[in-house]
Amino acid sequence: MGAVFLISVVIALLAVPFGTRALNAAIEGVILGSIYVLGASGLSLTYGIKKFANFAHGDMMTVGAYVAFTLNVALASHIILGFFFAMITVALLGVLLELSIFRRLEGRGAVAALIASVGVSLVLQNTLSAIFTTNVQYLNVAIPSDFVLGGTGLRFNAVRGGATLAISAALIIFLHVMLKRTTLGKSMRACADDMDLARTSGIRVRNVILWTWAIAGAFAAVAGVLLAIVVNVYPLLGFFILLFIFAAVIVGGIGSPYGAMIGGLIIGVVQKLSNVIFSAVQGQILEGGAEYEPVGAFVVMILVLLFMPEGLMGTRLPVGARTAFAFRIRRRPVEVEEVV
Amino acid sequence: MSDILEFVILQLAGYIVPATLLVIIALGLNVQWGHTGLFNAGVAAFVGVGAYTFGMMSTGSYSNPGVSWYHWGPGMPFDIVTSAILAMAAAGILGALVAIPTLRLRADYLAIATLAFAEIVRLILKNERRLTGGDQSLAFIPRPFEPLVSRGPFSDGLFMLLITLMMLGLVLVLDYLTRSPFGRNLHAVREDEEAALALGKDTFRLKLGAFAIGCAVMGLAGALLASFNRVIVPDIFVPLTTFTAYVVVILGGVGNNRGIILGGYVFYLFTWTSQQMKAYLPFEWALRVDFLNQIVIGLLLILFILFRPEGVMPEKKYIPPSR
Repeated sequence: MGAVFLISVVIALLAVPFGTRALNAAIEGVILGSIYVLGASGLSLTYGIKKFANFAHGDMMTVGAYVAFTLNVALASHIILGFFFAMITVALLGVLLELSIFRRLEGRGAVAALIASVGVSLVLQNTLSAIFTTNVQYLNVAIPSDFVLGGTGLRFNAVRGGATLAISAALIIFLHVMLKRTTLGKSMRACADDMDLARTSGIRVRNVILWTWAIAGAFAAVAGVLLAIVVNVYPLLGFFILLFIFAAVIVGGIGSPYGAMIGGLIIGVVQKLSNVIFSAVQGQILEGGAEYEPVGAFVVMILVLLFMPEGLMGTRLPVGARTAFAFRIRRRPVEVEEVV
Repeated sequence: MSDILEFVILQLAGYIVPATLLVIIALGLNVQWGHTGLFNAGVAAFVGVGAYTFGMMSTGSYSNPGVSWYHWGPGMPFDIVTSAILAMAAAGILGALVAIPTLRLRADYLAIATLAFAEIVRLILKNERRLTGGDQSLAFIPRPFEPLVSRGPFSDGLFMLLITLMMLGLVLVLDYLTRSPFGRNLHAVREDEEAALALGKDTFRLKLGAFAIGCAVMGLAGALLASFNRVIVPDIFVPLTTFTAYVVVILGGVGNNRGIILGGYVFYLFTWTSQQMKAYLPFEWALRVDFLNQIVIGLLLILFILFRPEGVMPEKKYIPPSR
């Protein structure tokens, strides 16, 4: 909660010189962050169980977005149907990837699976490019005009903001209830903690892994479709978003879905606020201006890696190890283990 | 007769030079990934840093306000050798800076941090026009022996010989390095870091050294690329370059420098053929050739990691001679 407080203080401080621009940026950041939350919690689930960073997660989001695009624009059906089919398709894609590739790489270390996922990412994004071309596309969703709050100049959009927040909140609550209350969720947490122990306790580990991929895929699909509605869709959409998702996962504590939720919101807000800051210094120090929007998010990620590598919700390291981390040269490498 | 000779030299250089560049990049990656097991997802950025450092140092400050085209550089341009050394140093130092916070952590963190670093480098190259020329490109980069040999087939042929010799020299140096105690320590880190640590090896420094050396080699490749192309734009340094380097390493043989030479030339034959084919295809299919090319890269990565992770020419076990 300290992090949320810190972010609120930063927003308040920025609101002094930039006024409503900073507050509007913060609102946009929360909305964007709530999409990152969906991507990051899915990535964290697969990371917790498979123990490798899945570079194809962003492209799974793009696949979801294009499934919805096909249904919504090419076949002219309602966007709800698009959401539904996108979730099913990407969930099946996740299961297929596990069965055909990642299951065979078990026990071969994190880097082997990571390289295979880079290969998957290349295949997915270029297949989409070959089918849909690289043009930027838009979904056919009616978006009402912004709701302006009285004389304050604060803006809010019922579909872009409201529906996005509602959908992410609903899915997050679903994930929470599933992880804490259902047998499947408890088995998932057990597998993430200790796969061998879970297996010996009679949990059907293979099935749990497949369900994890399906849920992560469905969440990725929803995140992809939401991005397509809020921004637009093009074949490299997910690949560029992937870095923010990774940043969210690292800030929250890798392998912890709850950390990923907070991390996603923080990264979204920081990204939009750094847009305001970089625009303000454009032409004076840096020429790029708003183009540097991602840099703020990456800086937060690097600071977390330096001073708090276990993330906000990851396993705590011994007290002395945390501050010494960045400065001591001779140190044992620290394995950051994950607890869901 | 001489027309035919010129044509042959041009075509040959058009294949040999990019293929050799790819081999050099892959050799650098091999020090990091092949010998030490470090995953660098920002290869393109280190090549880019090398290319831009070389470009700025060897052309000096340039400004043409009429078309708002400028880039930063020293008032008096450095000679080519110094510029290339500076390019290697810049890439190596930046590599070390990225690696210091992440090398202590799990392998995945280095991958994510280098990917983020690559994105930041790309943004800077694209946007800081006063520093790098931005989208306007950085041009008039000299080649070796430039005033003596004017540009043309002869210069291309000379560059081709030069880069091939440099690559062979680099292989000798890297082979020596991997057989030296330092290289054997790197292998120990790759195989079992805890065991290496227990034997009293400072695994953090070993990894840092390997990472910096690899990045410096990539910087050299960037310098050579800039020198051959004469003009560089930020869009050359996209993530695809990184993944191509991985395909070359895994195709040739992880940890085997000779295998990488083979892998580089064979793989570039494929890319080169598909580029040549584009000229004979209608426009919309020519576009798809690139996508198909990248799908093949992805499939090669997946299939090799699944079925032949040691590559076509596996690493030979090296036993040092007993004294």
